Amino acid sequence: MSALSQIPSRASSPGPQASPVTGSDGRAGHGAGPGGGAARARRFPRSDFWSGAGLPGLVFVVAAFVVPMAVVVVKSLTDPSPANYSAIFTSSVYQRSVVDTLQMALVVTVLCLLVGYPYAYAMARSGTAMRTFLMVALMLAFWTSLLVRTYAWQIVLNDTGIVNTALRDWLGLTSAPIHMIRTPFAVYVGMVHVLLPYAVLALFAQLRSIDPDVERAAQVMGARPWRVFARVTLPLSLPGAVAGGVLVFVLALGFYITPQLLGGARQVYVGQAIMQQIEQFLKPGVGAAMAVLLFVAVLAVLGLAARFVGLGKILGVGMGRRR
Amino acid sequence: MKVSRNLWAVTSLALSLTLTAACGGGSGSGDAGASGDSGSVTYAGFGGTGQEAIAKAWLDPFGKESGVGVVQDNPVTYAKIHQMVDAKNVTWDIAQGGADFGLEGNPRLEDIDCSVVSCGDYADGPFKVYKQGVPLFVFSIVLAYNTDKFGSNPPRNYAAFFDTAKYPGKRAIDGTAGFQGILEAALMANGTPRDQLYPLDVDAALKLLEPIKDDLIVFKDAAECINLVSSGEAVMGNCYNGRVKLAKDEGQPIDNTWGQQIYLCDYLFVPKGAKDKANAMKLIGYIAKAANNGKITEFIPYGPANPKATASGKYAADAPTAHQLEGEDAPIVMDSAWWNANMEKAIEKTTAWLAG
Repeated sequence: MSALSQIPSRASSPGPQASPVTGSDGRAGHGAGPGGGAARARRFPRSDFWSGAGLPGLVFVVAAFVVPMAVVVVKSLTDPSPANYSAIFTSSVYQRSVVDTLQMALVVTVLCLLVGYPYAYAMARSGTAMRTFLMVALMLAFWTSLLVRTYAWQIVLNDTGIVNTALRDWLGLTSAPIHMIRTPFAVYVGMVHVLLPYAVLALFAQLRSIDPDVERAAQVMGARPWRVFARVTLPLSLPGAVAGGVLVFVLALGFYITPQLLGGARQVYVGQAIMQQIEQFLKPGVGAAMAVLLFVAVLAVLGLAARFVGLGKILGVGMGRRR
Repeated sequence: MKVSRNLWAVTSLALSLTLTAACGGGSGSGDAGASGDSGSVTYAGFGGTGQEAIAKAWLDPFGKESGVGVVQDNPVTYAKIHQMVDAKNVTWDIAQGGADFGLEGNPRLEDIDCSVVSCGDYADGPFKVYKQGVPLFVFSIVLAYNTDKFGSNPPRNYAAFFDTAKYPGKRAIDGTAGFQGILEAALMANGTPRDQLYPLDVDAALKLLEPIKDDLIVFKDAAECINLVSSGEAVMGNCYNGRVKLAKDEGQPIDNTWGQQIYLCDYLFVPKGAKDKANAMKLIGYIAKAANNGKITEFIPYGPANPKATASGKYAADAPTAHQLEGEDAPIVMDSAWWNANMEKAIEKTTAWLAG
């Protein structure tokens, strides 16, 4: 689930106040304090005021994330046995869910970057008033309850929803409803809506860090605006795109609520497969094993990305300094 | 992740129950210690209007009559019962659920005490008393339809469900339970006699669903069924009878046929190691008694599970038990033993079929 996929980010993020990871929305809500605590505590032997102040945060992280994750790992191996892992690989539902989940996360990531890039670019290059407006507009969506937004999409995308009613009754363009709800399309729409801010903020931070003089220099040398963008701005902004993309991808892997409410029964994603094992088949060990594999996949993606752009960038750690 | 969440839930539940007990059972519906009998029973149901009805019909009156405090909790999940019992921290004395939890030799349940519960009453009913579970009430999955679409010629039974020529439009079905009941209906519509349905041939039944596959809207939450049918997105669907009645009373264009309603029954059982087993049995005995079991019909359109009980409440006429049609339209009673043994395989097959 989504909280699971955020464990690595919380545990290793020393500057969470500036991080897009710690939004105020339900899934990422309680990240602000503990990350700082973990980093401070590493210097605890120096025993200054702040390391002491960080201790409760460290305790919280251990109690709320490390211990439960350890319980999950232990459960996956002992309830009833490590055979849980082989049970996963014989489950056709799980195998299909892995493929569906990877595909969904990939599509959502690409869409977030395509939609988010122009937005972040506008934010980075506009005046203070416009930038504030764009930021608030982005954050308003971010701060609205995930459930409310997902249910709103249901109302919009239903066969008898706003879009189909408009197309048929007001515009007369269609006679039969266009089927959107309970399809992967609806999942993509809902997920991009939820995850877009993560991509935009990562891109924005990177674009802001590009020295305008570099672009100006290219212009002075005779490059046309499009060429300046293609040869200077875009390459320099790529680390932000990788950071935002990895963050969105990792969060999308473990998403549960949005696919559950907007998707059809024809696609089962990993989060739902885990839920099914625990609630329906009463096999918490197999569910735990699936969760562990998801966790390992997330770590692998983060590790791979860290080789290219550095973990701090993905987790938004550097942003505080630049702002 | 879910595991740890449940752990927290159980811990906080235990905490809140301790607090409740310390504060004199404030949220309980009975007043513990008011009369001679004492103790406190925690009843776990599914919440919502269903549990409200249960409280009004049985839990509150039992608390008043016996002096035993009744604390309520919800929702029941089987996973939670597993964890409670395995952690030896059982906070529920009575849990409500289906026969699919396994009520004969379940190591996590106590045996029913038939000296306190009138087990004999159930011998002739559609739902028997199990060694570890007592039938609570009967509800059903009915074939609901949109009254604007088929006003004059509504579906009579599942033959209509599979007849897309005469009844065009989408059909809403539950995709989470391995098409429980629908597979039976498909085989019956194809001529399989009732007494030869089990062992159920899932593959054959799915083949019968193949021609209407594109006409299916597969939902994952029971509330969706009512929305789909009353909005007209689906012209018919397999909805719970109580919800159809509520939507109908609200003026939604929805109604249902009682032909081949899929009979379901909720049971009461006692998790192994329940703290107040004696009072749990007493409360189950109270609910199951012929004189009391029909009281549920005063509050919600569910029928008594005790065949000797009389149903005379406000909703008695809308209860599934009041519409036991004959012949091919008679209620479909599923073989819970078969489903218990094969549910996982059925879900795997139906999920694969849906995706394919």
